[in-house]
Amino acid sequence: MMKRDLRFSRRNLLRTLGAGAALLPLLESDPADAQCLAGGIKRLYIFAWPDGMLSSTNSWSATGNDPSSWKLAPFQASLQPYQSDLLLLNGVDYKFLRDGPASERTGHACLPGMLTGALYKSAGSSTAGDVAGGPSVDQFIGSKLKAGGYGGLVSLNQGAFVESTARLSWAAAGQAVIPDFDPYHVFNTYIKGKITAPASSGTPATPPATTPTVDYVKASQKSILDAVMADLNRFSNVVGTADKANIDRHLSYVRDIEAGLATMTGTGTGSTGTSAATTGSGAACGVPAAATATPVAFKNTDNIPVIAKLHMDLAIAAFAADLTRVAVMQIGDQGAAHLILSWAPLNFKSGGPNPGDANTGDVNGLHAIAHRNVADKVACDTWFQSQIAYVIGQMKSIADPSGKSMLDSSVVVGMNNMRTGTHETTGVPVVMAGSCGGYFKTGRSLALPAGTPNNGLLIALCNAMGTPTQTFGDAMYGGELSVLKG
Amino acid sequence: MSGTRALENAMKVQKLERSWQLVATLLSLAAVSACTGTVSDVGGGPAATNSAGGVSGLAGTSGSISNGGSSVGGVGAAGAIGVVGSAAGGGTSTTSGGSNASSGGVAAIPDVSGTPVPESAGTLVMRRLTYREYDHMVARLLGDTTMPASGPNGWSADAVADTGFVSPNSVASYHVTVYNQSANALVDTALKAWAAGQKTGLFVIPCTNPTAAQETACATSFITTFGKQAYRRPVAPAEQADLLSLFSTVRSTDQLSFTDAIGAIAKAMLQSPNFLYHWEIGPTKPALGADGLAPLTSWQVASRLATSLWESMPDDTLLAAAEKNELATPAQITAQAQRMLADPQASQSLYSFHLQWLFNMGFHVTDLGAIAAKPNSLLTAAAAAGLQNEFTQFIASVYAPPGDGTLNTLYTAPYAFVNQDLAAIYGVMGPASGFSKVNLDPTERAGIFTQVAFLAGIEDSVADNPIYRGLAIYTKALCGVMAPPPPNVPSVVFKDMGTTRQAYDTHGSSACATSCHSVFDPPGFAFENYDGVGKYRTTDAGQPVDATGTFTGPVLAPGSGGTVFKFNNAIELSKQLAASPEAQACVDRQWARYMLGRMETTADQGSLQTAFKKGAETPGFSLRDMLVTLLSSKAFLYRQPSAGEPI
Repeated sequence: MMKRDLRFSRRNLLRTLGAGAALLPLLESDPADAQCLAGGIKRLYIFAWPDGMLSSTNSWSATGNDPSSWKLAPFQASLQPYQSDLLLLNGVDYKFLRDGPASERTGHACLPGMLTGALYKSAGSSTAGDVAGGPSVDQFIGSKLKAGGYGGLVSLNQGAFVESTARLSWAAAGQAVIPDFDPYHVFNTYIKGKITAPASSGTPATPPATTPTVDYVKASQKSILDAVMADLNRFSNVVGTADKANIDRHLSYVRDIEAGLATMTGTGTGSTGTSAATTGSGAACGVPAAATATPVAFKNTDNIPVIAKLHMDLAIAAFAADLTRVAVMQIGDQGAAHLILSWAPLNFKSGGPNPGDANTGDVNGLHAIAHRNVADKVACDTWFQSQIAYVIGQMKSIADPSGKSMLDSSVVVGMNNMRTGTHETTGVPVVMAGSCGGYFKTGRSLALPAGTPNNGLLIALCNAMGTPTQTFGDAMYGGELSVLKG
Repeated sequence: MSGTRALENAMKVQKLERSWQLVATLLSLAAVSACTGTVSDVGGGPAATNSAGGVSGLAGTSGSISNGGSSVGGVGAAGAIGVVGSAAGGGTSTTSGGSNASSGGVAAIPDVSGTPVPESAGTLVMRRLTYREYDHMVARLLGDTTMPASGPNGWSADAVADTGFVSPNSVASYHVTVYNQSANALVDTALKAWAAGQKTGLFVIPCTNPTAAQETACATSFITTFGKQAYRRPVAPAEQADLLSLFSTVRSTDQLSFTDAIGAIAKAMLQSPNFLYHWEIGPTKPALGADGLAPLTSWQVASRLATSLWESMPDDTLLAAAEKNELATPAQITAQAQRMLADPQASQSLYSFHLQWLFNMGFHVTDLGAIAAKPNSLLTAAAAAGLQNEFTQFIASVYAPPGDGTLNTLYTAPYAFVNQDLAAIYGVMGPASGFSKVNLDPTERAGIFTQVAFLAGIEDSVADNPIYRGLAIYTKALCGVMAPPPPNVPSVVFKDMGTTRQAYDTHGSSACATSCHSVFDPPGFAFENYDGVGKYRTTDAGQPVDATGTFTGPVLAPGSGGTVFKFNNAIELSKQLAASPEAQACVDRQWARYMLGRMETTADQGSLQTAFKKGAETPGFSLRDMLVTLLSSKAFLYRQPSAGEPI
């Protein structure tokens, strides 16, 4: 009953994406079959998961400075079609963890800091309670873009099977960003009504010719939020200092919602509007069909492939419509002890009742598999790589009017909180793809010197995205990892 | 090694690994040096010596428990007592922001054997409603019983605080977004129902087709009536003026219908901090007494009672009592609390408290209601679906009359509430349908720790894991604190097969053998008579079960605790726990944490002592009296102002 087929043909790999055959044509099609993007917009997509990218029995891809000079490791075969877009790093050092307070010194505890590069503000009583000491790179970049006049979201933070409350993204030291696990909620909140529905032709949909009308429902929403803000102001004046800071944050979030109303120029809730954010049409840039189909239970582990794919599709749709320029997707929490990769071809399940003993437990949970750190782990590693490959493939399949793909002007970053399943916080590999408008030199697989802090990578992401900084996180970890630029 | 054997061993290794992770994540409270003999109580005594003495420990290999610091120090002074977590090791583990940084360190316990301390009070935590509170409140206000926040498709969870209970302080953008959407959706649904002639919850539009001249009076009536419920206090004049202004704007400028304009008021109220946060004080500044403490208003007391005992908002009786200032004396509060415990809504809080108290470990939160959805459960679907019900009905039967309300009953009663599938696990005849109370063999079952909900649910899967069970007894029922395991705990090589106990009992040479495992393994092994789903067994893997053990309980205060528990099985252990002052003092403290939303401090000590003593007046220790006494104690009726609060 433990036996499972761990051989991965390419087709099998594609099936593991959760997309099955439906994905095949996309991956194999001409990338520029849909032109719906405004050109030149840079985007950052971060994909994170726990328990190591590697096991004791698989090696990272070979090193090389030119696609012809290196080969992808078998477990990264799903990335093969995009080798020239890749920038593989082996690997970064999560020094922030070992140098500051933390609940523990294992890679599990790296989750709240891998995107901040800052010593923790305080250690929790468990890995769920560690408090980051600064903003994460997604929030930093998104906030800077907004400060520079961009009108979309700071970032779109999504997750699947994030059981614990350890957080990956932070608005500021101590202020966690809570990922949205419900893709239908993501759609209804951030996308619905703000993006042109899939059109039958490749030409942008013409807005319906209507006489301008006042949307009274929306106007009343604004009035309601005004009243709420007045209440929050009053409330913040009768509480203590720490509480006041919290209520003031609450107030700023309400203000954000109100600002979002103002930028919606549609003619009513849920209508296909004439929002300036809508830049095109075509299936690849429209609403993912699954977003409006009958919902599947998004908290059910068995549905992770479907849910993760929908989350990714929504993020890419939001990218295409320029509703966000930064997105973060997280599968699993810092340990994922209860995450069972139950779908084909992994098919991990409980071993069932053990004769003479009722012991089972999650012997096939990701955490336990990671600790065994052998073949089963390689199968999991392979699946996670295929998720990154899916995002890369989708972004590559969408082109702007100049013929450049979304991927060309963007960067995808796959990160983990440790190296292999046994907790190493050094030499942690990173998958990058996309040159971010020529900033990164792709097609390479780099061996980084031991002790290269992850901060240099985070700085490079900020600089690539046009939100420059000299340092990120704790300044003692130095400057940009300039080798990425080539 | 055969394939089967390899699998079994792999599973045992896995269980052990998980246990290690659990232990690791559970702790790191005090930075006591690893596991070299430092098991401490929470807090130690009122003394400043904690980092050295309070958590200190004993000698590395003795495996005994440290005395929690010799008592010195003035209680009542806003001083650090106890230690837990904050002192040593640089890891101040205060909860996020908020007002729960009360005076004094984290701390003390009811020092049940020490000199009585005068009652005082700590700070009041301004916290967001928990998702379950939100759900119960909107059910009452708007008749929506779908549990939009905490249900199966509910919101991204809030963290467990250092109290071990979910007690959210800070707010994120995500919350504000879902509050906004939920308010709109709930009120729109209520408006539709109203238009169809149905009243949902307390949502009542006071006039039908009012004239223009009547509308303001109607809106005012709605604001004061619905508002008093939603805000748990009367709407203040300035608030009322703003809400009327909102009504007028949406009615005229935004051209909403009269009913939609009333709906807009409700939507604003449901997004107001006055609804979403526990504070309930309104715009008035508190008046401090000579002792520097502010009395809670009667509205705050009503809310505290409703939150503590119902996980919801005050009902009309409570609001009326608050209105008449009849929540001022202990007798008045006691009468209300007794009434509330007998109300069906009490099961909401009782479930939430006991579940979080006994099951939350580190970040891991068990949802008994969700176990049925787990792909791995060995329980039948009906049994899994029944766990929450079994757990809740049993606890309610203890706390609510005619239950005797004692810890002894909670820990030793030989009965359970079962459906047919749960009955099969107990080996008794169950009801043909639904749930019913069944008597169990008292030689096999005694109280909550021997019930299926605990035994199968503690790992929210179905492996009998003595480490989880042992940690629940030691750290939850006895409030003991474990030092973190040493770094790089080596993998344990399991013996080739054997009973669960044999598989786990392989720590003989590990670094944590005596100081950690000697503490939590024995209370875990006491449950070896129960398999992963909680079925009684006398053999395991073909060998007789060995459920005997001995361990030393934590020191709860100087001179109190350190009891040696020695038992042949879980029945005996449960009975010893019920009779032990440590366990009694611990439940006192846990309830206080749950209800205060923060760790106890020196300022709370006097009230904790008073409540403990009241509970101890009844043979078997009356949880009910203890709880009611806490609720009417100074620590619950007064507060220190928060830092920076305008006075």
